[in-house]
Amino acid sequence: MNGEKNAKQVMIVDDEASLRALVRANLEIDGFEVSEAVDGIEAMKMMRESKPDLVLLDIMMPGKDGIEVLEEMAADSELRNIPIIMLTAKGEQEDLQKGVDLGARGHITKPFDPEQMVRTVKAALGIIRR
Amino acid sequence: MAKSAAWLYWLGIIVVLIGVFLPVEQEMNLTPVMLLVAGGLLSSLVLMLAPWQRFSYKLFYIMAGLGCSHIATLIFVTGGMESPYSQLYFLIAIWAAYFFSFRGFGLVSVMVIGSLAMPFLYERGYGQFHITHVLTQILFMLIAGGLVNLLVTQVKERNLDLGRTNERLAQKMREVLHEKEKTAAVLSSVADGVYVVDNNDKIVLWNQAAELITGFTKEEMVGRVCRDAMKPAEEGGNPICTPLCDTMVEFEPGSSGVGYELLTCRKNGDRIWLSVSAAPIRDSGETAGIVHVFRDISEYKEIDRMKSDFVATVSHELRTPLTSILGFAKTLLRADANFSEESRESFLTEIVREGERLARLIEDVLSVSRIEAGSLRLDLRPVAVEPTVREVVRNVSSLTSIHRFEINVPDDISLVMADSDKLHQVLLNLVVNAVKYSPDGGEVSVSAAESEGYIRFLVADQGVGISEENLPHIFERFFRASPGGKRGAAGTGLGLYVSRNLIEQMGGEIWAESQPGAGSRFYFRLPVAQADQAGAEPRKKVAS
Repeated sequence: MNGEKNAKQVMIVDDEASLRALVRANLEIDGFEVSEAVDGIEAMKMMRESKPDLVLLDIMMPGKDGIEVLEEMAADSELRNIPIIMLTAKGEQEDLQKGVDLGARGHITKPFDPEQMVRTVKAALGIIRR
Repeated sequence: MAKSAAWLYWLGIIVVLIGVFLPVEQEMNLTPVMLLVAGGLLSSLVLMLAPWQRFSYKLFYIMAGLGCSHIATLIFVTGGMESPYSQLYFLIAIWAAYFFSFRGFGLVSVMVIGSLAMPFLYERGYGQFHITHVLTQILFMLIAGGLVNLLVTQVKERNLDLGRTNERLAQKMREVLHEKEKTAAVLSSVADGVYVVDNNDKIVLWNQAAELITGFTKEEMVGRVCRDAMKPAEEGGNPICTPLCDTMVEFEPGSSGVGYELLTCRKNGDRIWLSVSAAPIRDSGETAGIVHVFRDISEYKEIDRMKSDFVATVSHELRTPLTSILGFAKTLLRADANFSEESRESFLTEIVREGERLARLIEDVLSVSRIEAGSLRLDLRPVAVEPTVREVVRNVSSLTSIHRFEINVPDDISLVMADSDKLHQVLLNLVVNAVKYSPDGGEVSVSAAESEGYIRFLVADQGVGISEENLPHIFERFFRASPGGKRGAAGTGLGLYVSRNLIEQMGGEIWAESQPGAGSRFYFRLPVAQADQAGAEPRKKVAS
């Protein structure tokens, strides 16, 4: 699977620049195209412009947080089917449950192993079996 | 007593008047008698019309004295011992017995009889009949007076006893009232709300603190069933006795009560947390009601909430740089990737940057615990302003590419008296904040100026600013410039709190101005280092 070109588009939504850079670096190694959004508002705007194949969504963000993005996506027939993986910290169980109820495919807990993160993304996209 | 004395006096006057109009056997000059009677009548009239009750009891002694002298003079001018009025001696004796002690009465009687008997005995000679006559008079007088005195003494003593009992009763009454007032005063002055319900769950007592805490007055609460009390229906508040009502707690014999916490509403609808303890009131073994003591613990609850919020925030804040540090390190270790020198360097830069952020955060958390424990150590020395500012700006500017930094420090600025590390920490906090709260970039300027023995620092940005309602709170612990509930900009809410404490402990002050949407200006000032404080390091110009 290394170096495999997937040419799938993944969007990372996180207010932390370094985390976006981390996700981007690792996904790009595996040939994904990565777009970045700094918060929920920008994420919604970008999603409507170019529908990504998958969204990595931070839950705890200023402004519009991850849960609100999930709610908005669930209500939008065009965005409803985009798979979402939540980025959470431990101790956000309540949010996690809410996210799953709103249709999130899975979650990654910070701090995470970058390779594990890549595998989770691939599994969610059906590129590999879990 | 005074009244009866007055009656005695009137009685005396009447007897004298009757005596005057009784037929007299001997021929005598009645003019002085008439004068006496007229004088007696006149003084009686005055005394009758005068509001004598308002005067002192001494007045009655004077009256009695007047009465006595009337009678004595009457007897004297009408023939002394042989006068038909001589029997009125008894009246004088009785008065004396009434007003004075037995000894006083004896003295008065002997004096009166002596003064009347002497001329009589002198004129008539000291024959056995006359002596016997005088002695018999004296004897009768003493017996009559003695009896009256005995009676009066007994009556007086009984009155005195009654008086004492009355006094004791009054004292007891005062004590009881005082005790009741004291209890009421204690109940109304305790800071805790106190209320009592009877066996029918009706509120029978509601103290002043309870009124203050809940906003419900005594008039509104007393008589209501506690299950309905304090429950503004539209607010869905809890009745004040909730756990007791819900669980039907029965107090075990010997139980000292139960305690519970309760979220309910004040009269105005504000939610409050109450800590309530309820205990049975036992009256000879039977439960007569329940006394509840409660206090407003909303503040503690809020601090509690802020603390757990703080723990959540700090752990989130610690996790974020840690995620990047570990993530980039692991990325570098990925066996399946070959990184260019450029990417490798950018990853390492991220690791360093996030590591520094972690260090800053840990420094803040440590500062807080030191500030709260009062164990903050400061090493105050003269510090050069410009290099410190430059270093901070250099550190922060490496974190962002969208901000422009401007340093404005005069060449000839004096040294500032500060702990170099702490000054660095404060400046770093302010400049990082300026960057953090201007997400769209813009200029961040750091300047310093000297005036009135202080160096004043200013960190200004062109960011989102601080709303008017938040501005007074930004230096408070755990405060973050975002409305509660909504997750705000990243941060622990410690930076400004720590900064304020550090600056104040270094003998300075810190304040902020802001125009929402146009940016914030954070100022702080610290004393200029004096030449003698500078010691080996004389005041010097700082190269820019």
